[in-house]
Amino acid sequence: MRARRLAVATVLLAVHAAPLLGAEKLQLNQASAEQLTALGLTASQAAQIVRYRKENGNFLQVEELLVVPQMSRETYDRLRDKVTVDE
Amino acid sequence: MRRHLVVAAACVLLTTRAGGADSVTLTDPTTEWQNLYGAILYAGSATVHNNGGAPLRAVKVRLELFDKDGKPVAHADGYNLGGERLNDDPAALDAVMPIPAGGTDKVRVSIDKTEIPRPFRTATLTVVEVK
Repeated sequence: MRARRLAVATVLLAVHAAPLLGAEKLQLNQASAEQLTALGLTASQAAQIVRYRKENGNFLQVEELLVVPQMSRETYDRLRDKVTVDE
Repeated sequence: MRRHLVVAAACVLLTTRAGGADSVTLTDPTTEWQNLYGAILYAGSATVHNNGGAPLRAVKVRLELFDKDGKPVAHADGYNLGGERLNDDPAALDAVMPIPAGGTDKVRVSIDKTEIPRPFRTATLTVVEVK
């Protein structure tokens, strides 16, 4: 039981912390609201990104984030190097 | 209206390749994602310069998107502002306002997101026809 909890914690840490550690960028088209929040977005901003993706399809460029409601230029500048889009 | 702009002039390459287009140049290129009342567009704009010695009726410009391997992803054509009527009525050439010799005009071309089938990395604005 303890080992299982440790494994779950390790997975969660890897998922949420990897982008922050620069190990790998977060895939914008697969990211959950929780993962986006872990990058520093507010819950509302993260929810807007997920909603935008559902309504308009996958992001075609990271720059497309700029047309998501509630996405300011400042927030985008903080986020753009932490996410990527499958090409 | 919610409209966010991103200037990505660095990834816009300008070329002229159409016959008669040697006397035309494009400057101040920008590309940007736009959200126009919920319609998501990728738009390019520039200034058209008529460097020749005679007026031009219209200049057709192509916005083309390329993936990371340089393969074309999507494109759209459009006329300079004075000739935009030609987008709907190609036969209305005599009705458009010409660009005088040495003059300039704006051009804007956009592609609806639904017409872009996959991610892209770069965009070009190219003169494809001069009338």
